[in-house]
Amino acid sequence: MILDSLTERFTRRLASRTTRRGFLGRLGVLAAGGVAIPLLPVARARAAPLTAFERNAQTVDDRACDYWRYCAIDGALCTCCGGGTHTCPPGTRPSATTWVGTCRHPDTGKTYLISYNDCCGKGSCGQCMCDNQDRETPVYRPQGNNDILWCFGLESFEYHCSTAVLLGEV
Amino acid sequence: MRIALVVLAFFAAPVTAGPVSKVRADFLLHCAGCHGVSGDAGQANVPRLNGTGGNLLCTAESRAYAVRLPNVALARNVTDERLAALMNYVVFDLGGATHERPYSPPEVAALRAKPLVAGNLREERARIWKDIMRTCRPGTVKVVLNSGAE
Repeated sequence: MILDSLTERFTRRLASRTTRRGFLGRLGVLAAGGVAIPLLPVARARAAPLTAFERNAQTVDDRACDYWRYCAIDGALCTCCGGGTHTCPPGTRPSATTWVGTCRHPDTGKTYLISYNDCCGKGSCGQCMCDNQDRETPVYRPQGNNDILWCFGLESFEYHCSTAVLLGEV
Repeated sequence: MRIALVVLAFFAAPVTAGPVSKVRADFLLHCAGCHGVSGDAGQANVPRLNGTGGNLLCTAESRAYAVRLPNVALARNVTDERLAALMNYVVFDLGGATHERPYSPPEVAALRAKPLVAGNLREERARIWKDIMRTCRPGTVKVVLNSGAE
């Protein structure tokens, strides 16, 4: 008997306070919210955390060490030495060998393959010296090390500056 | 209008590089630095892969040698499946092999468990290539027999 009256009071109150449209709206919020839960920081934390470089990288000034493509460059930026991000200054030649790494574009969050080609054949340029080390390996894994001068194989082994050639999106 | 397009193209350039396949990305990350993005960095005393790598499938021994090379067998963060795909990319897509049996993940797993960590790699390499030239395509194999890195 008590249960009966309690249930009646509850349903009457529910009926007087809510509408069918309101219920559907709340159901919709619940459904959309359920989909959005994986986007919350808890789920995102499982992906690799951003490196210090990646948190501060910019996409505008390629003559600065924090330009996004330079996440593992070591040496003088060719953009400060009369060349470009993927072109060598006059009088120098790109190395045939290089090391290839990946950098994250800060705006899109996509990962790109970057080839760090040295420009060789002239004394060091010495401008805009940078040393970033995202995913760079110790020298006993030389194929991923950025301390190596990659000018071997050319007529002149003289190191001038470094480029960051974009090879494609991973 | 034309100037605007040129400016747009310039600034858009960094993010318009298209996606590359998984196996191509593995090749670029793990091999292309020394072997060149098209596998032809022969000028730097690195063995040429483009057009010649397929010859490594010539004999059972050379086929095994290619996977047992230290930088292949001991590649970091590469599963047997990915390494098999990578080797097939090198010997077929780059290396010009056409009808040989592709590497399988179990085959690669067995071979990489025995990396060439002892002995003289340059002598081994010369011996393997001499055998390839004698056995498979005498006189026609375009091999750059330089002092290259192994």
